[in-house]
Amino acid sequence: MLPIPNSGDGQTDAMSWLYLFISKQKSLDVSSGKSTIENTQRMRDEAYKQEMEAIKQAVEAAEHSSFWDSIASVALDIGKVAAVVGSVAVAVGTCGAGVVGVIAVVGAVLSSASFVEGEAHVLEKLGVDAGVASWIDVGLSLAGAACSGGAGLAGSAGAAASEASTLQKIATTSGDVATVAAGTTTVAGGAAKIVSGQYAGDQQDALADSVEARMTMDRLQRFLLAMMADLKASQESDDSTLDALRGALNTKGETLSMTTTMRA
Amino acid sequence: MDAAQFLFELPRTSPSPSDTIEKLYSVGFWLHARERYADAALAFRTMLRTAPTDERGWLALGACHEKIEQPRVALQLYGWGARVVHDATRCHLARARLFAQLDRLSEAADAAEAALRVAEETGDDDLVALVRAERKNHVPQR
Repeated sequence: MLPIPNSGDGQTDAMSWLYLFISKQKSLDVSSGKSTIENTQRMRDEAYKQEMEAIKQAVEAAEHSSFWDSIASVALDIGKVAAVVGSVAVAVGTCGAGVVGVIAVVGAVLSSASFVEGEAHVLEKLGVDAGVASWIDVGLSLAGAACSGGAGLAGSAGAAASEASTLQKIATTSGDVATVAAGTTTVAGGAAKIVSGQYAGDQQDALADSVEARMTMDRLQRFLLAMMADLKASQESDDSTLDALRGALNTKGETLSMTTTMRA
Repeated sequence: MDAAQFLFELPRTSPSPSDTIEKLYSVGFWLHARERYADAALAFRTMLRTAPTDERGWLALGACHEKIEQPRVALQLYGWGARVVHDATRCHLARARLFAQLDRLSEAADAAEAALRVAEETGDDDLVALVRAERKNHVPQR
């Protein structure tokens, strides 16, 4: 099912390109094998450096993407947890392009948490039994509401004060969440101020009148709770991304080296 | 292209954002093919954050979770992908297949219909054929 990478043009994957290049050089004279290997080694080293730089830039780009920049003015000083919470609110408030970025972050966190703790455990943290199939609607309602103009989520965010209060209570009472980052209570409190400052008033009244929105809000709260509890693992995974990719490229390089050696 | 030209051009190739995405996907795809799903997922997560509207990121990350027997997480990711990507035919299709596996046949049929609708909107005959074949093979007809 997975689409094949678009590396056929060579420009998109230096190592693959190099591998392809070498594989096409079968007509090279064996007598020039030694110099060929040396040249290939040099090319491989350069390609490897280039690839590593590209990966490094990719990771840095991910860490400093425009998505985070767009919310930095709101949540820069209160850390990643607040950024996630705040960005949900910002995205909802603007119904803008940030929504997609928020959902991507939520998806990444869900994936990371599930890898670390397992599907059942994550389900449990969401407050539902693993056998309850309807939990999947948590995600669909979140994304659906956001993508349809934020109606559902706008209502949810309208009750941001109560959401923030809940998060603050969670941060105070949950040992796990408290260890996510120093001053988590302050973080949640900061998020609370931001969110409540933006969405108090009419939107909150509107939410109070909407049972459906209330249900969405509750599910969103559970989701944010799970996100916060799993944030530490997520951050650790993020930190190890570069290492993992470096390991992958090392292995790829070794494969290439073996191929070169066998040719010799 | 000969070796000299390759070496001449390689250092000049600064990765554009699209190149970076392709590199990430290539690395993730390669890791996935070697059953290193945790490592592949890291690459796809990074890709997802960088390019959330690239359907392949959602699809690939979901596939990693399927491989480690987390179908509900995969379903969730496919669902989000289907929502945020305009023409996410494959995400709809993956949802249909998983729903069918979970014996949620009505939802499987809905997802399959959504996949077919999106595929037809793209005007890609191959994609439409793929959806029809997958639907026939994996999703019980109503």
